[in-house]
Amino acid sequence: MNASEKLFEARALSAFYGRVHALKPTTVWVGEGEFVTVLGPNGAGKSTMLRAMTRLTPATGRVYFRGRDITGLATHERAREGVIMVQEGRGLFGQMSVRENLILGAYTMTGSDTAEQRLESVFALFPRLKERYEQVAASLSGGEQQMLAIGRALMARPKLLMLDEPSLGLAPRVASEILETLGRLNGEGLGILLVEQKAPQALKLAKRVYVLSLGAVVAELPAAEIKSHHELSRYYLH
Amino acid sequence: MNSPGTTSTRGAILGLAPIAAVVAVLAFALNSSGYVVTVIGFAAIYGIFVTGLNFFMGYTGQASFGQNAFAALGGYGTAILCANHNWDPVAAFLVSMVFSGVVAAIIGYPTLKLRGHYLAMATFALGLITYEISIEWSGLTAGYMGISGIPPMGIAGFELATEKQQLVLLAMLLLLGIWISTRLRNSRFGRALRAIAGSEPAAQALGVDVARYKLIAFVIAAMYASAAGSLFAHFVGFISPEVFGAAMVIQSFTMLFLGGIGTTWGPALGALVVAMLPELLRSLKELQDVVYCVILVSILIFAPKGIFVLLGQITTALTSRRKPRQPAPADPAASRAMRAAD
Repeated sequence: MNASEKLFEARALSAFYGRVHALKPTTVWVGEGEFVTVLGPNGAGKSTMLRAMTRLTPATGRVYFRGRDITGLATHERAREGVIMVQEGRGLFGQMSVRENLILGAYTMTGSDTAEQRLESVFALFPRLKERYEQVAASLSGGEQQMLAIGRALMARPKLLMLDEPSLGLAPRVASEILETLGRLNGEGLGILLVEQKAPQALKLAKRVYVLSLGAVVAELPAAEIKSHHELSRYYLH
Repeated sequence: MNSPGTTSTRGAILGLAPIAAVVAVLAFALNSSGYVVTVIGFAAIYGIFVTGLNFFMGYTGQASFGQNAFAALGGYGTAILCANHNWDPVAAFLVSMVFSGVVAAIIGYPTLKLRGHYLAMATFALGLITYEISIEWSGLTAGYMGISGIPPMGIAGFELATEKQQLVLLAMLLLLGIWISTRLRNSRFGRALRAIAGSEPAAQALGVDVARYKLIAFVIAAMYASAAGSLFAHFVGFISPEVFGAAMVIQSFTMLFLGGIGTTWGPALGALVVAMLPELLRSLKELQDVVYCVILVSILIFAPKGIFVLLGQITTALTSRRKPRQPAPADPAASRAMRAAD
């Protein structure tokens, strides 16, 4: 794949937490409409990598979006380009209603009619959010909160959706429902970068997989090949 | 989604109730003695001050312990321009406001990079520095002596000679200030501010320019503070450094938290309560301060989100009792009372 087909690329991205080198120079990319999964145990640097990509954490290295160097852009400017992250712990505004959270998601979009249209498509994906429309976000169940977090991210018409362990703390059935939705969104052409600790289902959806360990990429392979890789399949498929 | 009929009627009633309350308080004051007029006038001036501070501390969830600096700029601006240079009060008022806004922008740009306690310390220092300047730069401010002979508020030679006339103007300006605050709160801008209060990283990740909006909220708060300072100078006719001292900060925080920080009407309501309470308790003589404190602490325990939110909850409870129970939205006023949960 040549550079023009790459939706997003981080080259030699590196980040420190104090004196801990949390992310060693790492190169990761997502193609147009591609579903990429990043696997790794707790503390491998997965969240740091996403935070560095959105510049929520200061990092060195370069970041490209559709071939354009966006290294100099701040977090909110990257969001405006269409790079939207669903944070671990969902990052919802707990005291605001579902409606207000969703409308804030469309913050980068100007013109209220587009927000209304987006609302309808989010409700089509997650009908339960429509039922909870005026409820305060903090009062939703874990699964509903995750749906809201993803719904809010979709309000911004992302071109790349990055998700930090969306199935964390959810019942398996709910988690699989959410992953299914991600698969459907990817089918519509949305680029997805999904970070998970362990997820057989996430691997079924993914085209390519990165494996992170101790702050560095230790493997990059097509998702289909992970089964034949003895050690990786033992860790991440079961 | 929601039933538009009942919600909008209730919304209209709830929206008009505070305005009716302001008119009622005003009517009461206009039929009272001069002393009551003075107390309620101070409440209105403080109401403007804390409605502005609420942009920064309530909606945006930041801390400023130094907003008295901008009230001092407004107060001294008006005093110097009107008493010493015979400026038209309205011109002095507006020039002081713009000046305060510019100073807030210049000071806020580096200062607002700080967070939490550090921001609180830096803003507190700002208030102290302004206080020192107002004492030491006696050529301009007359130091401890203060500036007297400030004319009443007026427009183009027409003076609002009596306190009652001035009170009507103060009430109108307070309503205007709250109206602006309400409009902005429910706008895209207001949502961005509340997103910052909710979580800065989440707001950034949604595309909100956090630094810029914090600065704008700070500047708005400073301009409201300046307006309050100018109005105080006109209302009393005299200012000195003590007027804008650290006590003002404590007073305004009490008003904010008592009334309902982050709500639209709460701060002004808090200003009224804090201004009136000591007067109502005056007959208790030496027990006055004790009872005052007991009341304040009780309100904070039983209505931790402030009186305005409590009133909203009571109204919701009363109206929903008459109707079949529906999965009622949490009271809008309550959900607005956001605290920084970062």
